[in-house]
Amino acid sequence: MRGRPNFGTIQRMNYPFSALVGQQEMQLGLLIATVDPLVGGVLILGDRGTGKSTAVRALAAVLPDLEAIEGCPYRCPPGNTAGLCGACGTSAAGQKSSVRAKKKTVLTPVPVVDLPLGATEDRILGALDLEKLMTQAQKAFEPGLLAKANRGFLYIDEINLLEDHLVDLLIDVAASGENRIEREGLSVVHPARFVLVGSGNPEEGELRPQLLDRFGLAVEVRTPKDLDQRMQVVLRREAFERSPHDFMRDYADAQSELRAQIVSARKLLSKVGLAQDLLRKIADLCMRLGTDGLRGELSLMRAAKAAAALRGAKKVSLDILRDVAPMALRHRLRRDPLDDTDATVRVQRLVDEVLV
Amino acid sequence: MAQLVEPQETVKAVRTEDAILAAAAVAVAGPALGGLWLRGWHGPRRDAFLRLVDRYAGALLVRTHRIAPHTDPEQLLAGIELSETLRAGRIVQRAGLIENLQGGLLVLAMAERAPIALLAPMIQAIDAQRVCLLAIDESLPDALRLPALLQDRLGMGVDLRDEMVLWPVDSDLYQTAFAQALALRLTDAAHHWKEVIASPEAVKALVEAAAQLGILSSRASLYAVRLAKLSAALAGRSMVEADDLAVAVRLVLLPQARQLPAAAAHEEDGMQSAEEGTSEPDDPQDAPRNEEEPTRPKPPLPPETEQDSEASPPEPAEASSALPDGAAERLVAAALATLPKHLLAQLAASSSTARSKAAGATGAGAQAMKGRGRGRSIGALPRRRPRSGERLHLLASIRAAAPFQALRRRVSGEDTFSPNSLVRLDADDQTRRLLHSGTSGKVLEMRPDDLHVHREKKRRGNTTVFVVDASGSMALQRLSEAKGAIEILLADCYVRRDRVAMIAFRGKGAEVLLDPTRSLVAAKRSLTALPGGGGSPVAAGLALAAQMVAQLKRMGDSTVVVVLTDGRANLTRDGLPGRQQAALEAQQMARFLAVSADKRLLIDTSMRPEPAAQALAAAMRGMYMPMPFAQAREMGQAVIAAQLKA
Repeated sequence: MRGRPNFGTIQRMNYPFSALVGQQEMQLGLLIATVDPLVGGVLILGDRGTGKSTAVRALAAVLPDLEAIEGCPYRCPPGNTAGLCGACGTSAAGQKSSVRAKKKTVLTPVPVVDLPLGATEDRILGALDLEKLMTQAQKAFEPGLLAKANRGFLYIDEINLLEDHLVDLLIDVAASGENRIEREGLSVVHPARFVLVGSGNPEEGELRPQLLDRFGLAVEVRTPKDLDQRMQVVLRREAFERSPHDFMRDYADAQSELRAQIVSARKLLSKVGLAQDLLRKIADLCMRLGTDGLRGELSLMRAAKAAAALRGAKKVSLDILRDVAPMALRHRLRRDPLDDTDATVRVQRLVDEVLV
Repeated sequence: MAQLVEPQETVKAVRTEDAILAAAAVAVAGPALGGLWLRGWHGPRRDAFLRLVDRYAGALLVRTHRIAPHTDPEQLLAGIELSETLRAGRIVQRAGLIENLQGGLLVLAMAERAPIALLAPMIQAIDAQRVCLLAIDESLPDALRLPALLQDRLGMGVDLRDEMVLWPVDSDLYQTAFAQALALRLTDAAHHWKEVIASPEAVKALVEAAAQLGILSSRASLYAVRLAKLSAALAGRSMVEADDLAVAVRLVLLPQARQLPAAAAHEEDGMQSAEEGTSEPDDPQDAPRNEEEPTRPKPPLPPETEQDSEASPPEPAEASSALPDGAAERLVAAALATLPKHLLAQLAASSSTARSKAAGATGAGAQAMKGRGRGRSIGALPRRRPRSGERLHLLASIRAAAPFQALRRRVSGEDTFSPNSLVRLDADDQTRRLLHSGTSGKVLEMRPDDLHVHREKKRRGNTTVFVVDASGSMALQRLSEAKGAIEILLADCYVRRDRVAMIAFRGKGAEVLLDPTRSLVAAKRSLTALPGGGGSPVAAGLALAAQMVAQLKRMGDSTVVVVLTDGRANLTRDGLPGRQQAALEAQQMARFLAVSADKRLLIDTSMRPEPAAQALAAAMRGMYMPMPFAQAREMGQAVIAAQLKA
């Protein structure tokens, strides 16, 4: 036998989310975002090679499939809700329900879209469909990455190295939930609601404050300090690559358990309550930390409720608040460039004081 | 820790064999190892190495392709073949370079100069194990570095910069006995290396070695385990043995090392007291605790362990108890013994400033890449008459023309009767003939209105270089005030998203404390760590600043140099005492800065305005500002105002 085995076919499976080692905060942050997308995006800060990308890409596999109208490039949900694309929106609004019922729905996996650093505006926003243009002389819109990410996750690794003009574009879309294209004679609006997940190492450049603000949660990842954990990372990865199928089978139960946990948390979410005295503590905490505006309170509240739902609790407890306060607040402190006390430390200090 | 010192001949042999093994590894399992970081300039040894890689790759039918840093990123990925499409009148797809390689080898020359747009698709492909990248890095010690996000993904490193410890210049690597032996086992290894067993002890030793060398990324440990397996497979073994671990440390871990093992323990102490246990992102606290303990006698690695450790990951506790103590330490020490002296010194130096400098350094590479985005196309602009110097945006032009083709063909057919169109018809005929030549007769009807040009981004980055006098004449009090002033300026730079760099001079010379970075964390840290005392080699500091300014200008940045000194130079550039000569040299360098840096500012840090500082400011034709006794904050404000006016 000449040549070597083909590598292209081996790695098509994603490492299972439940097999990640020692990154509890990141895992919790991502899970919260899957339970309540309104929390906003998740920013993952930390060293290289700590499994940031692995975690995000593994996320898709534990998420329950989406119900979407068949053939819709934006995966619009069935029913007459806000934020449908042009085609689905008009058919839903203008017609009787009997007509709408004709639209078939399908189950599709939740998209987790990678936005590579070198991506062009065309690829992100979408552009004229060259193929249709050339073969049929038809001006059609070819959806870009933002369209692909609708109702799912948009992942940007090394987000702090992203070109400024691309950042501008993302900020706008992430805020409005829709992508407006007015170029090359095209005029298209389509829904682009996604959970923005960014990762990067703050040592290599700061993030623009406007972009920071778009993230509901900021989690920190570290290389595990514990040698045994570091070893586990390597051993599990090796086991996975040696025989992915066996490895997936070993974690199949954990994966479906996690999926069930997410599904029931989503159902429970609207029933989770937050006691008045805790609400007061949240306000107190945010005030003392001097977070800008009310976004800190809001995202802490939402995150705490989602975290409670994940635990199957109907009430937010002090414990839960303490768990999620750092990730909801650490990136919202007013930036004093001269104070190099780690934001996490500052938050933790006050959390220990206030949340007792 | 006592360093073993290997005799030069042994080191030569080891390094040569390592290079050969790396070449074989690239061919056998390139994508599993991410890639190879090949450092060194063009020369016979590099050619010999690349030839060897080609031989091995050829033997395994691994495709290779070499690209330059100015390659169009679109070539890497699949897309539409424009010219074919136009000729055929239907869409013709073109496969991307990476796809075409089918898990083969991509050779990137001058990788340190490659823009991020080119690297991004490669990095994605590497992460998916779809390609192996051989990145040739020709960077100078102080210039652009290979971006950290790429370096981290290249599993192996081969350093050809120190020719003293490599193979003889005229030797054909492939003819060496070692290379021949590997050649015989290539195919076998390619099929079976994944089945090689690495005991938990072996894995643990590598993970621990990585921790001792200050490597934070777990990618390195993964790559090290894989390389150890490969090395075993290439030696015809089915178990990873001590030799394989050693070669994995040398080829995978050492190139990524950020500190010497001894420094790890030191740093840990220093840091915890200094920072009250604050946790910074690259905190090297994961350095093993047993560092400080005296090394116990080490049993050799168990040669064979029969347990089927690979099938199910063992419990952490079990694994740790089975580890022979100090195995990792021994591995690291042995590997370090093969490092040429100056590289070892470099590593030691970076250990001492690891916290301030390494962070800045990684940032520098990444940021520099971004800085080079100047003039990059960011879209198309309609332009009836492209001006000189503008590039025609072919794709956009064709896009604009395409929807009207059917219409235009019809119209131009009817148009022939109108007298007005006669002139244009001639022109059209010419174009038509041009496009007709040898094709199916389909013509693209273009109008001036369709033309688009590239819209280019011409943003100039701004970098402020601080040159800080930390000599003894700067009393500690003044030094801390100067630090305060810099902090204010840093805040200002942050607001404007400028980059900052920092140079300090004291004692015998000057050093770069911080490469240009946009990271405030790194800047603050390097400033806090700055010690004072010693002579005052002003000229050396200014010379280093000039060097950095020149580099920044090459990258298209505009520069502001802020010098904080009392101007009383007493050491020459060579570190020799002598006030007169020192002052003379300082003046010279200041005049040099006057023409190279875009804006210059000198802050006199002496108690009352100092003539020497004034003279220096005049020589660099910059603004002069005595540091008042006021609060640093107020002074900073004054500086900002002055700076903006300048």
